[in-house]
Parts: sequence; structure tokens; C-alpha cells
Amino acid sequence: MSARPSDENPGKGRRFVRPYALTGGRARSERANLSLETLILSNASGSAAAPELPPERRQVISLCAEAISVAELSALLDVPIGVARVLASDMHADGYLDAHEPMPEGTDLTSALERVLDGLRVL
Amino acid sequence: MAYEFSRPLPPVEVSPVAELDAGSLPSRLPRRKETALLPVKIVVAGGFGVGKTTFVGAISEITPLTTEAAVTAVSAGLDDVQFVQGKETTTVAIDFGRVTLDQSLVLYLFGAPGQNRFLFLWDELVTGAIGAVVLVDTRRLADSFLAVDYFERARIPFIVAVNCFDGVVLHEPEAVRRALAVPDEVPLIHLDAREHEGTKGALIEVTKHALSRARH
Repeated sequence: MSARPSDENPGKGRRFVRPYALTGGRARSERANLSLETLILSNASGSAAAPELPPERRQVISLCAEAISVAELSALLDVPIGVARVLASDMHADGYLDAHEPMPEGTDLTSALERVLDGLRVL
Repeated sequence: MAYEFSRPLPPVEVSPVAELDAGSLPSRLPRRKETALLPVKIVVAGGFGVGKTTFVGAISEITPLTTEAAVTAVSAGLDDVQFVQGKETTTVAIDFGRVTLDQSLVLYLFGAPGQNRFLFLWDELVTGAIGAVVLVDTRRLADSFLAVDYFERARIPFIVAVNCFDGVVLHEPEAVRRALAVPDEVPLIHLDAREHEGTKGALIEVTKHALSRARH
């Protein structure tokens, strides 16, 4: 097992930069709060704006070239989930990222579950 | 035992590489905006060291990733920490994995940190989950009480999956059910959390359970 923190070994940080500096100290976004599993994907305006964006936002645009979840973004950027959520929510509100939320309004739970079941059975 | 490779292998069909260009590199999910992608999640809960990350790793298409949530020791549950001076901040890791189920459907598996003091994190982990798997080690049954209680109260469809280390079933299912006081409608299965088939079976079971709930 690695020495990374977990519920079995909480506590030890390993970063030199205080991650909430990336969000101006905010733990939540005023504009939106995407959930952990929301899939985010950079769009054309994100790619167009990327050269002008600060490095960490540029990195978000490139990591989201393929759809990844906010949780994956957090792990890949190596920042706490709260930081990834604020970054992604802000950039979604700015129109740079498309977001696909879990069970958006109008989703039929039964048919979604049937699709999950079909998908699992062929794994 | 026959050696599979003692016979000459049939010729391998090679697909033309020339058709691939930078724009058609295989990607797990389509980039097109008009495709409505749907993420779903299942939470894996259970006590310390019961095999949650092993379970996730047995089926995840990515090596389980870790995300951290900040935990403020004195202010668990408080959003605003500015009033707390000299607070002790620590982090708890949440391991998770990903299973792409079809062109536009992605299942995330989140391991819920087991101890009581992290319970406030569960509300978020569990919101929107299609269901939960409570992993149980029968040598430490009491470690699963917290998760069973939580999912019952939150009315999340869940199953109990007894992790049989080394494939040994130590206790009869009915004894485990009684000890955990879970009602008959909650599915109870045995699995080896290291094995793909066991993990897959558990996920199928919890999805079926959620489906029967949704239909009623």
C-alpha cells in the first residue's frame, strides 16, 4: 500500500501550494455547484479562450478534452474535491466547459437503471 | 491440461491503420456536444480495511483514483470555517473508479470512508446514487452497522455483500442477516472483492434492487 492519505491513514498532506489559493479561498462556487460525478467536457469556447486563461484553468481545458468527472479532475489536478468543484463550476458558468449532470430533470429513472443493468451484464 | 499455444495460431486480421488520423483516435466517450452523457454512481461502504478499494479496483477501467476532501476536526458539518480559530484541518481520501457502460453512460464507484467521523461526507457521496453496496467482513460485523443504518435511514437501495477473504464462507447468510438486522428484501450475497465477476455480480444485484424499488 502507498503512503497516501486515506480513511485508513488520514492526515498527511504533500503539497507545497495551498490549493484553495486557486479558488480565491472559496470552498464553493456562487454560480453553480457540480456534483462529484458530473461529466465535464471542454467546448469550442473553452479551447478558444485557453491561451488567455491562467495556467490551472488551461490545464482544466486540456484535461477535459475527453469527458471526465469532477472527481477525476480533482484527482488529476491533485487538488481537494472542493477546489476542483469550484474551478469546474466557475468554468462551466463562464461557458468554457459543458457539463452533463447525473439524472437531469426529465430522466426516466427506470430506463436509466435498465441501461445500467444492460451495460453491467456485458462487462 | 492442454497447452493452448502448442497449435499454430490462426492468422491475425490486422485492421488498416491508415484509416486512423489524429481526429479519429479512439476516445472513451464521444466529444460531440449533442450527445447527452449520463453519469451514474454506486457507493461502496463498509468498515476499515474491508476491501472497498479492492472492490472498486476489480472492475474499474482505470486504476482507482483518489480525491481528497478537507475535514475540519471541530467543524464537521459547518460550511463556514472562518469562526473557528486554530482549527485542525485534515483530509480524508475518497477512492473511486470508473466503468464506461455504453457510448454515453458512465458508472462511477465511490468508496465511502468508513469511520463515524467522516459520516458527514456521505450525504454528498450518496446524493443521486443509484444504490449502495455494504461490504461486510463477518469477523468484524459491527463495522458495517453504521453503513446499514445510514442507507436505511436515507432510503438508498442497498445490498449487503459479504467479502469472503480467500473464498471462505465463514457464516451462513441468514446468520449474517440476523446479526445485521437487515430485512429480507435487502439482497445479501457473498463475493470475493478481488474478483471481477464477484464485483460485477454485486453491482448487478444492487441495480436490480434499485430497479425493483423504482418500479413500485
